[in-house]
Amino acid sequence: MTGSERIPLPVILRQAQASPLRAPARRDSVQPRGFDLLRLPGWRRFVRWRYARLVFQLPLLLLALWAIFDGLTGSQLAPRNVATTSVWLHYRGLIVIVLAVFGNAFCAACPLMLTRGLSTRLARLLPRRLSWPAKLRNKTLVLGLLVIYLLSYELFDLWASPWLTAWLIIGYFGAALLVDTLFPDGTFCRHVCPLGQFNFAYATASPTQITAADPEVCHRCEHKPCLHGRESYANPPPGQGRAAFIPLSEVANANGQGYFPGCETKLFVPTIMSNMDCTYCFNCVRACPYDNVALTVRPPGWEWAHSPWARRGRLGLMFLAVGLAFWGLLHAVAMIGPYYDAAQWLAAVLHTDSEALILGLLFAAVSLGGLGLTTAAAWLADRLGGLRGSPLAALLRWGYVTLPLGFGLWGAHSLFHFLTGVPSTLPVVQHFFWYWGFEVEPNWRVARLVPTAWLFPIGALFVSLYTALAVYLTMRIALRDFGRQGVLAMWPILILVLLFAALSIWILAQPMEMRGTVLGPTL
Amino acid sequence: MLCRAICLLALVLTLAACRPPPDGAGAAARLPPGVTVEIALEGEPRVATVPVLVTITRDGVPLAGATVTVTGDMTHAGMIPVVAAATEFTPGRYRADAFAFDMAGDWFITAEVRLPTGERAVAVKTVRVERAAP
Repeated sequence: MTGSERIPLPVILRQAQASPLRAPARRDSVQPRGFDLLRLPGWRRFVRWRYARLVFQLPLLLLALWAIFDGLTGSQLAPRNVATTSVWLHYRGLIVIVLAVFGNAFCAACPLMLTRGLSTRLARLLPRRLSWPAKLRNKTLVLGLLVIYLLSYELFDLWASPWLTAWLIIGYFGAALLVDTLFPDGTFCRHVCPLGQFNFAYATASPTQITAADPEVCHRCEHKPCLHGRESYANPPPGQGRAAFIPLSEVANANGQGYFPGCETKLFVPTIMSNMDCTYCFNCVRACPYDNVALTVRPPGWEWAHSPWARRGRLGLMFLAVGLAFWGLLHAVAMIGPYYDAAQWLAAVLHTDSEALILGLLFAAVSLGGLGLTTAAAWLADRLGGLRGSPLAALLRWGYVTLPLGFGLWGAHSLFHFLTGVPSTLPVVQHFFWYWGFEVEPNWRVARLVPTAWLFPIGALFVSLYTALAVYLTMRIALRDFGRQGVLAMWPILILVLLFAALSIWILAQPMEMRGTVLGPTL
Repeated sequence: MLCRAICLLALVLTLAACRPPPDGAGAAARLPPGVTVEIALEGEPRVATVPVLVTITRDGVPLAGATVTVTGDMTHAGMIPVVAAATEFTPGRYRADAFAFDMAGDWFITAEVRLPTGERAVAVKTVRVERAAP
């Protein structure tokens, strides 16, 4: 790649201004066109700064190290340990809040990516980096990993074990290091990380998205640095670089010299129509020599009505969306009495005391039942609309409805624990120092600051808001694809939405019950 | 590089060899020499108000004049703790009358004691709480 092949920036900008293709007829013009947050004073300059991401990663790295230390060596009473409280209360709650009001900021600040320097060095010891198998370039593997992760969470009571939580964090760092050493950068995020898939799926609910400020500039851009990266110096460096060379003099709002990596999850800015797979790393913002990347405000869940996954034939993504919604249901049910009654009834019927078997069966029943129910409702909706396509095609049309449903329930559940856990931050920190011999007295009364009477209304409100979005989305899809016939077609999905919402609110209204095991006492 | 790899391997093996710290009540207790703190429930552990009795001795002799706070937590993180002050009703015996389990499941009860000498003692008891009586 050499500079001689490039079209200079002024030419591109002139061509873009003169182009007749600025009307919203092009496929990629479906990107939202709201306010660009990077136009806020100081934001663009900060985000284009080479170390912007590090500013957010370092505090989370320090927190992760603290959690590992306290988890391995500290008190094993979960509500009093930094590992269990930070991971299972604060982190999960904050993820949902930030996804709802901003975007995938936790992938942006993910400290696991700080292993990247080490993985790059280790990769040099290899004859060559492997390429990720083509058959796994989808969500199949990560769906399996997500199932294992959620099952392990229940089976090993990760939320109640600081020691296992610490090992989970260590395992995450190790897996990120291993995968990104053996395979190209970004493989871990896109194809392996279960937590990342949760963030990706529900970032579709977020009110922001990466877009091209002016799509014409992108169309005429030859090297696509937002995707492949760029190298910028005052003069061309000798030899082959890691990416296209673009002289500093031609970089709009130059943000330093050196190598600027492109998108690690291989998203091309002007074609991004979904937050799926976008880690908000802002590499694209830094790498774009034309400073043409925007962080656009859009209505929450804007993309659901634009079926971005269906165009890419991504059935695996739809399975992820449906699975997450119904696993959210199981995850919430597992905290109320009827779940334990059902598990014990099942154990008695099967004459087993294997918790793994019971959990596996419940998980399989909910997964297959949820997928079957959603597919059946979608197929019936298509039939009522006059279409005789396959059930899977129907699922690809209507399955987006499970995203607001799932996000509503996961959000309400995580908010519950976040609100009950946030006030305990101070006494947990005090307890850490007390445990290590400091003269500090933890004040657990502080942990009671949030009135319990608030918890159900807040959770129910969260579920209701996203149920309303699911209802709206159902009507949009019905009227978009079936016209007047859509008034009839929407009903099977509306019934599914309302049943899911009613079940969610019923679960939230139940008195909670939390045991270490589903089948027998452990105390 | 080899040195770093060996250090990394040593660290991994060290971590892998370590065992979880002792679990539950015993590990969380902190008692000055000669002091015992016993926690007992005055009733069946159910979702209801269940007074908690705390008995404190030093060298087998009831220890009067301590300040005792009883805290109840679920064994998992994320639930609001129950906190109640215990008052002395006979020398060395303290009762938290207002202690109420608000949820069924696995709990641990912590008695945090400030002795008249200024020393601190902490004892923990785990308990499974059943649903409220119908």
